[in-house]
Amino acid sequence: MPEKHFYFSIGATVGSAVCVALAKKRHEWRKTSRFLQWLYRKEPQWFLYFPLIILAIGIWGLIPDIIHLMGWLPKEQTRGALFDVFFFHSTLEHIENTMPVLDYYLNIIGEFLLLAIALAVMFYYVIQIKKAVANHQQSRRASK
Amino acid sequence: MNDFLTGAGHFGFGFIGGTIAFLLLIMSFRKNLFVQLYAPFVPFLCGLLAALPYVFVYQKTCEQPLWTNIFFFYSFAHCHDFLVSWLANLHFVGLVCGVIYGFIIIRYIWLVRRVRRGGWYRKRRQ
Repeated sequence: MPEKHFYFSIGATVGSAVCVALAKKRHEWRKTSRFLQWLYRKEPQWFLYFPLIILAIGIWGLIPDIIHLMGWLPKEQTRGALFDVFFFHSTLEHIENTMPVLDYYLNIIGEFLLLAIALAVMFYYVIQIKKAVANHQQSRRASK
Repeated sequence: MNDFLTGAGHFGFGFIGGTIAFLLLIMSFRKNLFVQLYAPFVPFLCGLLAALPYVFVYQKTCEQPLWTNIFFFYSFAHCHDFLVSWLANLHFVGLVCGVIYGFIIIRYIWLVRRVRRGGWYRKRRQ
């Protein structure tokens, strides 16, 4: 089957897309969303913790494997049509049986997606730190 | 389970070695912003370097050419009993790299908060 990291990488990609949308729209949505207003009151820098969103959506793709691992349902049932909700789990499991070459490439794509997302998240923080340092130096110069 | 390290195993070995280098760097150069910003990329560079020969060297033999040791001790690690017993397990490698990555992210968040609060360059004491 596509290894677990592939399902996680699909979730992480979806999570990253959600985070990009949130990063662009969060100030606009703050005016209307009570939840965001509450979040800003509690923690003004809450967006720094956005990798948790990526992690949570990534884990969504692992739920069928977790269910199977815990022994709650047999593998035959976790491959039912209903489990396509978890990032096309059943369809991808079917691909594993019928197209092993595609399965191999999916695993490689999953590895590269995870690496790209991990590095992009780190670069985001590097940019934030550089911006903060520049702002701080600017305000110091202005105060002199 | 294989009796040699796969690409993921080599990546894990390089990643752990890179993490040690990363920790030493951030502890040695506490006041250097460049090091604090970019040292967390060292584990990734070491991991990728360690896994690189897996792409172009025949993997199933333990007798790897000695020059592959340039790539983070590839030849040494490929069939090392202790390393194979731990790092041949993809889930273990994923868990270890995930925990280290979590630490890197937590450290970045701490750094952003610190820099936003008080900047990086502190005033000299008079």
